[in-house]
Amino acid sequence: MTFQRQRQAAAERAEALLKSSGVKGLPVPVDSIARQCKVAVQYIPLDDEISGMSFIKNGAAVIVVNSAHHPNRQRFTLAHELAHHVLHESYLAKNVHVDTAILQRNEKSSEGTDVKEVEANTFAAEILMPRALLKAFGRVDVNDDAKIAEMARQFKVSPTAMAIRLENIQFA
Amino acid sequence: MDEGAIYRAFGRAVAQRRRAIPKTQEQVAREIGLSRASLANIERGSQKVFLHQILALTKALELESSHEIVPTKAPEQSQASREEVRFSGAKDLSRNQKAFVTNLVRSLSKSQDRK
Repeated sequence: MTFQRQRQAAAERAEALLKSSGVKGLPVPVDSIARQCKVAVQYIPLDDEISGMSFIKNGAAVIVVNSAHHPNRQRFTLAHELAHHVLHESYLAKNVHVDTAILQRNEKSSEGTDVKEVEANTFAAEILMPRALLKAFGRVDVNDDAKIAEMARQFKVSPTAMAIRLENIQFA
Repeated sequence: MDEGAIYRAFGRAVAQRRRAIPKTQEQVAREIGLSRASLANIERGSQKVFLHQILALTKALELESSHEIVPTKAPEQSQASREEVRFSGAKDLSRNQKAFVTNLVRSLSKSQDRK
């Protein structure tokens, strides 16, 4: 599974959105970016298995984020759901989209993965950890826990998300 | 076969699992009787491992089976699949979860209408 072309396109949409929002500092204000996109964001405690959901009802775009989860995870959820609104609007017009989360471990679990989810994760990673802002840190040893933790703190993401992002960028 | 790719895949699996538990490199290294630097090398894929070390790592990483960190076949070239992925969950949701979501959507769309 690669979906290379779709991932590239999703990353470019995210970069364009960052640019038009005038984002410069850290952490990336994903909440206000969503508002600029005219999406209403609701923070509601949900079943632990559910990260968040997206839908469009009567022309109004809505994101629900599970407020019971860690703040870093809420930011990832919001960025992921925003991706669905930006990239998959026509799909949301007909579906209520609910996201559960798993950390992908190996090739096998990727079978049956929806291209929409791959796109949304790529978009979310680019929004929260923009390539341009990561570059300012130079080449980072992904095995340097302290450095990863410090960067994760600045970007307000989980250390795991930061490590995976750096691996994807640096080993690409 | 790219030998390096196998050890890098193994190292990544070890590092990901270690961060997920979470434990520090220091802790795990001590448990398996290696220096932190050696463990870092293993996680980076630049140091080969012995079978007894794999089994010790399996225990230290609180895994049932070493299959969870040992690649079962030579890794492919693509690195695309290492990413946090969410499934479009509707198909996996329980009845209660679906009912909850349906009610939530109804009540939220009502409140959107009033605005």
